[in-house]
Amino acid sequence: MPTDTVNADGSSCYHCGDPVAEGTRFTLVIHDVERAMCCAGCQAVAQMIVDAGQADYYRYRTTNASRPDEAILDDATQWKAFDNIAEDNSTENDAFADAFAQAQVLVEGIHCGACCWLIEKTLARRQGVLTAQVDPNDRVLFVRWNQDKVRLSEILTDLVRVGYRPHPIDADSIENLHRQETDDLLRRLGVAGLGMMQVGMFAIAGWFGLVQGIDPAIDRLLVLVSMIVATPVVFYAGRPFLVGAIRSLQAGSPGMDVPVSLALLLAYGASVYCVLIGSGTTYFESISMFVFFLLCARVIAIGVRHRSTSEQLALATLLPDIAMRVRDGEVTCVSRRQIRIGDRLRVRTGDRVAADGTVVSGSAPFDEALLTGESLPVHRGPGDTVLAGSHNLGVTVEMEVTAVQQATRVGQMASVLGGARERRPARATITDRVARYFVIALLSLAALIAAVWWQVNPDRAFEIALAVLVVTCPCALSLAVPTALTAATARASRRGLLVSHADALETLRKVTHVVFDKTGTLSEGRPEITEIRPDTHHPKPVSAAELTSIVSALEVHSSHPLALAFTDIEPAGEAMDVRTETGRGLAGTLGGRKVRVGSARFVGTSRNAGAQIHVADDDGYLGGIVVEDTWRAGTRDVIRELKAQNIRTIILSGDDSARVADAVAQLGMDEGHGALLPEDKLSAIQNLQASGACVLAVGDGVNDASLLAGADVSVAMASGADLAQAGADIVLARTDLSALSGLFELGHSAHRVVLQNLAWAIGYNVVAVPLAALGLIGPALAALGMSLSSLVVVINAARIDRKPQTQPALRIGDATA
Amino acid sequence: MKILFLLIPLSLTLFAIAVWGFFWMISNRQFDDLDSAGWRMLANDDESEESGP
Repeated sequence: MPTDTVNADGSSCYHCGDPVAEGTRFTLVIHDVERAMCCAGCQAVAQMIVDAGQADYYRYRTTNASRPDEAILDDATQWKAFDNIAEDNSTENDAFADAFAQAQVLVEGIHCGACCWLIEKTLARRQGVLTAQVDPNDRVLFVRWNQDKVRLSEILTDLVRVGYRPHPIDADSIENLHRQETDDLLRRLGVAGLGMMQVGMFAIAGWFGLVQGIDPAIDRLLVLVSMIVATPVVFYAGRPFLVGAIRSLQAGSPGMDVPVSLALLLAYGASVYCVLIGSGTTYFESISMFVFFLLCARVIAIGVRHRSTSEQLALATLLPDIAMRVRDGEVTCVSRRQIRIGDRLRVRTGDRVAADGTVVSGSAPFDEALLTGESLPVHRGPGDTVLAGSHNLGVTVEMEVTAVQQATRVGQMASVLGGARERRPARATITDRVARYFVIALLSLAALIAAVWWQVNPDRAFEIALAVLVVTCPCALSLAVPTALTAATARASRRGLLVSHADALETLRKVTHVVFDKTGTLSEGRPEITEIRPDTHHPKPVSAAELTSIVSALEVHSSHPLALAFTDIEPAGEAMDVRTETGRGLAGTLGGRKVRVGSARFVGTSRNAGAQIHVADDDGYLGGIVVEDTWRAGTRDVIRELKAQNIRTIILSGDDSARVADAVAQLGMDEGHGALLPEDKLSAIQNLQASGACVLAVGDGVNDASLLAGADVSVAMASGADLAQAGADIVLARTDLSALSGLFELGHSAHRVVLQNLAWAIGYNVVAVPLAALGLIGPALAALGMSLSSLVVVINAARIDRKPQTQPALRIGDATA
Repeated sequence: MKILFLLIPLSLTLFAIAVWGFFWMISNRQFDDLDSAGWRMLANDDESEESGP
């Protein structure tokens, strides 16, 4: 029987893995052992899972669950807005339209197979649910239910109660496009694979015939049947390459598809010609194999790309699913999809705005940090623009919608980031350079040889030119790079690195600077109290515990990141008249005393220089508290290894300069710059690039998106914003940063294999071309050479995936930070 | 060896059947989720747990 492997030690929450603060007593008995929980939310979710008889989830999961958002738990009724949409959808082309409905729901918070299992099990227990199936790659739940017995809102509420956040989606969503794309490629791969086997079988028979002798009639039949099988392989399975070649030629920048298509068509044309004239050698088996290998590489690449976050999910997590629509004085709850331009929406206190629009009545401060990186709220009154995704911090306002969904600012950001890498410094890939020159050189050489032979012996000119083209056929060459990168991609994903743009791997070895965002990337983003220093000079000195509880009472009213360190501490009482002085501190009344909490200057002290938070009351200075971010696991190792490789490590952060300098010193990094806006980060990177540096950026937040888009190679944390992941080359799926150092090693070995493959392909040509040009290579030998050289390349690339790992592979339990 | 003139073209039919079968599997979403089958069999259903020893 499998044992519980995640979070069994008690210092971190058994459900979500967050550290359990001392003094918290949330526990639950799971599998006969009392488990620690970090908060009431986790406890509630875990209780729900156990009550439903699904405690086995904790045995099979490989990653922690998400910490439930209590606000969503409380507001479970909001899903009612989706009931009428589901009913609309069900009426079309459904035989059981009266009673049955179906929907696709994008589920936020799915981490591993056990999550899918838990969701399917939970929903299956609900009366009236017919099918509930989760696709772990797309994170889409397909659900069918009987409308007489259950409503969609109840199903969604069930999902929320086990800790996942549902986002109902359109049927023609990006996920469906992904499915179509994958299915299409798989069909082609199947045709190529089956065709390859069939034609290969005939080819082996033919080769035996060469040695042992064969009935010419049977030989001709074998060739004819091979041609029939190879034709769909070239024109159906190979279609993506042919279409790609035509497109890239029309665009005026021939890519790797051009030599691939050329090789395909030339070898196929030559073979068909030989079949028609009834003599000469055919290459159908080589062509089929070639198409199959190329398609394999493409299928793997697309699989990885789809697994990383889609733009749709990015948008879904940034915008609320529900909005309050005002029509004829009546307020209805509608889903985001039902909002139309010109609608009037009511945005309550604390709500996120669902669409771009103009304020019609009321005025309030809005937090736009998500969109602009500006940490201070911006005041919006009648006539002002409010952006979708921003947070209403003030009173209720009403707005008129001017843009919805993809057309909103944040929607545009999401789609622009998808194509952001088009704007970054061009990656001069080896593939492109080689492809362009090699093909031109090859064609001119063949023409030259044909011309020479035409003078010497016109009878053999065509045959020899053909032999040259076939022998040099750029199969091996065009397989050299994609196979190496695909093998490296496959290996990376086993280590928790999802590579969505494989060409980034080629750039890795040129990286000279690594730029990190601080909060959320290097640090966990959850500050911790590391030292409490009560001041003894005060007339009525307080204890360490009293000091923190005073701060806690005031910080309850603050949204400052440092306030997070105090959320688990019991406040000393109800603080009254709390004022926030942005960037300085908080002032309020607590138990009749006026208390100030904040920077040394705000409090008016020069003592305790190392502390970030100072406390004073009417009678004087009470003490200071040192709060530090906790570093992500593996951070120090990564920095050390990067230094050993002579790579400069830099922090670019929106955080306070002093804190950044502190982090640089603690981690032994090279440089750090604080108080930067997203634009500043981008220009800092561009300055580095202008001075010849090749920059790898690691970030997590929405405000890092521009940083990631500008860097030569970008790595996003999977725990961060989906928008950042949508634009990144590589997504780090583990909480541990140490996978990053393996990445460089992988880049180097991928590059080595690319070079070896290119050397082999070119060396092979250097030997074979002169022999073919002199008419010395027999047709059978040419065909064999072509297949073998391709095979060597593929097998060499596969070595990347087999190398002994210097780092342990991802194990169950690794996710415990 | 005349039988080869029948058998070789016949293999084309097998090829066609295999391709049709593969397409059928794709449209039936057999390849959509290759991961979960592995852990699905590990997870005991409530019923089977009760009926076990």
